[in-house]
Amino acid sequence: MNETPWATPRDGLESPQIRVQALSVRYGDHAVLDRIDLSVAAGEVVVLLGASGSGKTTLLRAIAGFTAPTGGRIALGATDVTRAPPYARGLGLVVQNYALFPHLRVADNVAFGLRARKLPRAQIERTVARFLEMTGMAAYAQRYPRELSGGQQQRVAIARALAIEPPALLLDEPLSALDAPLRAEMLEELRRLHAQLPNTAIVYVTHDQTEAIAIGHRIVLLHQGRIVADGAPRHLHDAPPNRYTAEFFGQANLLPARILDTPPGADGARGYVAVRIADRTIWARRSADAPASGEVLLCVRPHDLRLDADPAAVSEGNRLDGVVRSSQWLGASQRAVVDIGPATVRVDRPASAPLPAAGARVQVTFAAERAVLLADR
Amino acid sequence: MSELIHSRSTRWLLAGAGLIVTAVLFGLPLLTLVLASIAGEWTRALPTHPTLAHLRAALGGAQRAALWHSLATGVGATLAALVLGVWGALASRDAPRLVRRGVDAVFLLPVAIPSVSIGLALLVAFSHPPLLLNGTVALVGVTHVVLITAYAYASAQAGIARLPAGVEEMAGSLGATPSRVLVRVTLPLLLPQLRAAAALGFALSMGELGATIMIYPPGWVTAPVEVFSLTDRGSLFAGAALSVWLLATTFGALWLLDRRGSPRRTALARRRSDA
Repeated sequence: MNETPWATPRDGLESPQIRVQALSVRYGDHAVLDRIDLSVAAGEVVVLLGASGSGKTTLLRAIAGFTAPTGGRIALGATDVTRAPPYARGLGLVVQNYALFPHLRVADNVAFGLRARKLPRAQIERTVARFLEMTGMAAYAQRYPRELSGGQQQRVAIARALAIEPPALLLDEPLSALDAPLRAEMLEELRRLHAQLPNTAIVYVTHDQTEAIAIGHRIVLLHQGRIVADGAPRHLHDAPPNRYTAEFFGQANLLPARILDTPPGADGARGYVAVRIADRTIWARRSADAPASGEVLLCVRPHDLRLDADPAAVSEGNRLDGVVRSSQWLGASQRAVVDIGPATVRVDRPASAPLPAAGARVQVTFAAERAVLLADR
Repeated sequence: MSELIHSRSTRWLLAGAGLIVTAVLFGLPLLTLVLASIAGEWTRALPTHPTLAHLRAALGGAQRAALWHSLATGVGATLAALVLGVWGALASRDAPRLVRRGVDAVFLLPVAIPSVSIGLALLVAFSHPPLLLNGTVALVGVTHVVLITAYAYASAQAGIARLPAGVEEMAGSLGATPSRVLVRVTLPLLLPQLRAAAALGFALSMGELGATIMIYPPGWVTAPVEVFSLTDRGSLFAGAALSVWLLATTFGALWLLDRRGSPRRTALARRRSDA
């Protein structure tokens, strides 16, 4: 995605910790990964986000050395490791099912990588103690993995991966086996650990956008073996570069629109573009790769829309006429589904707002700065 | 049906029936063997003139040598079968289906063939140079290995299928070379299956007669062959006494295997818990 309009950290990279160039993995005619380019800087947290089958885990496994690429290169620092076996790469790996050694105690699990490096015994004991302390598992050093809860096992897995002091830590859906409160706690824990090891690059695979936003400096969205978006979470959320990103990331509303010849006016002067939707003129920002004329998609997030039953009350901003199809109270918020011409939008509102009745005629309003135009592809 | 099984009286009835069948099928022959080993005479329903003479005699001379030969053959063949079986199971696990089926057949077929036929086949196969093993102790070992490797192979295969997902890959990513992964992760995790395979293989080797009788050299008579020739000559009590010692030796070895095979504690863990 060279078209992303913002500067990503890789633009300024001198020597990335991980550099993937034109990496492909094919099984027969099927491309699991299709010419992927990716750089991860020291200390950077990059989230590989995507639906199942998008190729994110394959990319991680290729970096770790478990999947042999059919094309392209992988370099760690200045070293080409494309053909190197996993044990020669020195990367830390944490997986969903923890993969702790069940026959070894916690301390021996953490010591495993250090013993493989044949380090002096005293140094191994010091390092094991340090990382068990760091992950809050020092009191469990003599337990077997089966005697620990899921969250504790994941802490041990993280301590084990960090103990070899890898230049990069690879995390493959590390929290998906945990329940929601524990997941939030572990995310916080990971952020804290990363603050203690500021030079360790992290590549984090997940299908969960909440996790991605919480931990990523940068999110790389994969779809069908290709990178479809690459940028800071905030940018991808507010200005998705394409339709897939808008839909996957934050469940945006997408409305078919036609670009008008921008009439002279205040909004045009401020860089907004006018489009036609359901007989209304709507102002919106244009994403970098949206066409200058013709058919486009208007992307606006459910929480950026407002509902108003009284047309007279709305004097400024964009507005569209709609009919409420359904509404539902969701505890902390409420969601209304509104038909606007042939299209349908989701509107998220505070729980305290009155629940609109199905069939009610409403006006859907939103600010021009919260709406972005995308290429319809 | 489930009501029948869950009722208390039916459960007692079933347990009682099971106990009787077990006692008749397995206990009675063993009891007969033990009684015969201490019998002075056995002309009525029960033996008379009890004596320890047969048991004592079985610990000397040719019978003692036969026990030793069986023990040595059993231990050697079990170790070799474990190495071969684990090797075969590990090597074939990622092989194409057809190759794996082929390896399965090679290792498992000896179980389906009468051991006499195996003995005869090995006798013929190893009767010409450069594979001239006829009349050697080695041929006894080879025969036992061929007969019991199936159990080691099948057990290792079952163990490999049950290995926790990803642990070997994880060991590799932590810097362990493939040989280190094998020694530190794969084999320790296969230990329960290997112990079971060793116990079964060893017990089978200790009692093996059919193939051994075809190929044993005069200087390496095993205990089952000696039992056979004793009873063939009419020395039933002496044969029973040697059988009892064979049984005791086998149980003793299996007991040792069971004790030594319990999960080991690694150096670091031991030091920590001692501190």
